Amino acid sequence: MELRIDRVTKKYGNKLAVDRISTAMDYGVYGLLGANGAGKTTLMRMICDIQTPTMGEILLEGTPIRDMGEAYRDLLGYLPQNFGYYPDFTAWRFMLYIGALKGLPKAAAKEKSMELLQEVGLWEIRNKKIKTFSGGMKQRLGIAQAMLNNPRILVLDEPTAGLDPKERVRFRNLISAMAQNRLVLFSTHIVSDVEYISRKIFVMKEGQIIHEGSPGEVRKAAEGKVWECTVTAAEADVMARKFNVGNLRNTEDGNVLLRIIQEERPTADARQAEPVLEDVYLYYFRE
Amino acid sequence: MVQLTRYELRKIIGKKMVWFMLIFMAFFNLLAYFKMGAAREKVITTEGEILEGTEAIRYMQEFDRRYQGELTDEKAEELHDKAYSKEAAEKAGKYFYNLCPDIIQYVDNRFYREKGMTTADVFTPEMGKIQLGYHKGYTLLLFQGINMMLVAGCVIVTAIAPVFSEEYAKGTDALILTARYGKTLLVRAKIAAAFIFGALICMSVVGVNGILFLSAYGTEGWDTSVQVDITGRNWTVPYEMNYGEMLGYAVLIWLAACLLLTGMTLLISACCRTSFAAVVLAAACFVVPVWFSIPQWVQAMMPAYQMQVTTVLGLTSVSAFGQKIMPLWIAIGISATAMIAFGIAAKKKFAGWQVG
Repeated sequence: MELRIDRVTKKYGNKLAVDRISTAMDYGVYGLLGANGAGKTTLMRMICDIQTPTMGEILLEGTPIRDMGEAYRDLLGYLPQNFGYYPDFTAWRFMLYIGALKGLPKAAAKEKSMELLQEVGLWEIRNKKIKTFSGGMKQRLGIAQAMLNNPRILVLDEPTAGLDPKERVRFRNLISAMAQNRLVLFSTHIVSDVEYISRKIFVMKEGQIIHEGSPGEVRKAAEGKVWECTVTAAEADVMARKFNVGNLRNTEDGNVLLRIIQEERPTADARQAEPVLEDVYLYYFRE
Repeated sequence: MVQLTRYELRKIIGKKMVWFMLIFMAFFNLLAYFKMGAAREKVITTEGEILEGTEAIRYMQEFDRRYQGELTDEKAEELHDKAYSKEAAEKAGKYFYNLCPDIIQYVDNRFYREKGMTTADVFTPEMGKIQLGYHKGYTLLLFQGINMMLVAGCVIVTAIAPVFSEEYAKGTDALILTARYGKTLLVRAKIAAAFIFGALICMSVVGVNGILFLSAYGTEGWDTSVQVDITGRNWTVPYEMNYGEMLGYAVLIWLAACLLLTGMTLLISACCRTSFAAVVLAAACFVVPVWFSIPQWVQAMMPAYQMQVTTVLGLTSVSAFGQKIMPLWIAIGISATAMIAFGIAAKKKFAGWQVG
C-alpha cells in the first residue's frame, strides 16, 4: 500500500501553509516533526481529505484520494489536533455514534467499542460523560474512536499534546502496538515522541519537508554541529544569549554544562557531542 | 441511514435549549388556551340572562342552529332586527356586542355598521353560497394555530440552527467528515432528522390544539363558510370554502411553512461557524420580513407569512393551462421545491466543508 503525496501545496490567500511537498509512505510509523505553524496540521488535513490542496495530488495506490470518496474514508482513522466531542455524550454513546458514522453494524460497533475502550483503559468509566474526562482520557478516547473501523491509514495530529510524561509514554506504546500492518502518521513537536517509535521522520519547516529519513539518518543532520562546554554561571548567561543552547545543566562544582548547537566551535575548549534528535530540532528551528 | 437518522434526531431533541423552548411553547399554548378558552365564554340570552362557560357554548350552538344554512338578506335582517329584544339589548347595555352570539355581531359589522349593505354587496360570486353556522371552535383553533406556529417557528430555528454549525464550533466536523459516511449518509440523516423534527413540531401544535378546542367547542360548523368570521381575517378569502376545508388547507400550509423554515435554517447552519450566528441569522430571516411592506404574492412564499394562513388563502386564483389554480397550491409547491433545494445546498456545503 503506497500513499503518495505529489507536489502538494496549500495557500491561504498570500500565506503558503504547505509548499510543494512530495513524498511516499507505506506501512509503519511516520513522525512529522515541526514547530507550531510549520504546516503539519494542514498537511494532515489534506491527507484526510478535509482540506483541498491548492495544487498537487494525494494518491493511494495510484488513485487520487479525492476520487475514492467513501472507499478512502473507510480506510482512514483520524485524531485531530483539537479533538472535538459532545460534552454530554458518554464515552460509550460517543463510540457507538462514531461507529455508526463509520458504517459499522450496531453489534459490531458494540463489540469493537468494548475492545478498544478496554485497550485504552476507559472501559470502567464508559458511562461517564466526556466533559468529566481529563485531557489524557479524552485523548485516549480520541485514539479509540480513530481505531473503530480498523483503519489501514491512521493519522494522529499531536496526539500527545498536553499529556504528562507517563501518559505520553503510554500513548507512544499504544501507537506502536497499533502500527502492525498499518500506515501511522503522527505529528508532534515533542522530539522523544518520534524518536523511539518512528520508522521515518519528516522534519517540516515553513510548509516544506526540510529533512526526511530514519531517526538515525535525521540525527546525522546535526553531526558535527553539537558541542558541549563547561563554563561559569556568568559566562553561561552571556553564551545563552549568543549561541543556540540546547541544554543547560548545573554541575556539582558550581559551573554550568552547556550543550550548544551550531556550525562552528563556540569556544576553544568545546568538545563535539553525539547528536540526538532534539539537537536536530533545535538546529532547524533555532529562530 | 435509519440508525444515523435516529442518532441525529436524538442530538436535536437532546439539547437543553430545545427542551427549554418546548416547555415554553407548551406553557404559552396552555396560557393562550385558558385566556380564550371555553371557561371564559359568556353570552346573553334573548331573555337577558347571562350564561358562562360550557352553558354559554351550548346556548350559542342552539342559537346558531336556528339560523343555520344559507345567509340571505332576509336572514341578515332578521338577525339584526328581531333575534334579540330591545329589553335584552338594554339590559346588556354597552356590552351587548361582547355578549351576544357572534353571528349577530358578524351581521351587524358586515351589513349594518356603515350603511345598509346586501349580500350581493359584501360577497362575490366566487365565494359561492355563504353558509351560516356555529363555528367558534374552528375560529379559535385557527387563531391559536396561527399564534402557536410563530412560536413553533422559533423552536425550529433554535433546534435546527446547531445541526451543522455546532459540528464546526465543537470541532467534531473533522471526525465526521473523515468517517466513511460523514459526507454522504450522515449528512442525509441530519437533513432527514431536521425535517422530521420540523414536521413533528407542526403536527404536535395542530394535534394538541385540535384536541383542546374541538373537544371544548365541538366539531359542528365545519361546513360554515369561512367568510362568516367575526374578526374579519377571512373576509377577503375569494373562494367558496368552509371551515373544515380551511382547517385542512391551514394544516398543509403550516406544514409547508415549518418545513420551508427548517430547510432555510439548515442551509444557514451549514454556512455558519457557530450556532449563535446560525440562530441569529435564521431568526432574522424568519422574523424580519414581517416588518417590511412586501407584495402579497411574495409574502405567500415566506414562512412567517404562510403561518398566518390567510396571506396565502387571500390570493385570487391564477389561470394556467386552461385551469384555475389556487395560489395555495403554488405556494405549497414552491415551498416544497425550496425546502428540497435548501436541503441539497446544505448537504453540498457541509460535505465540502474545509476544516480549519
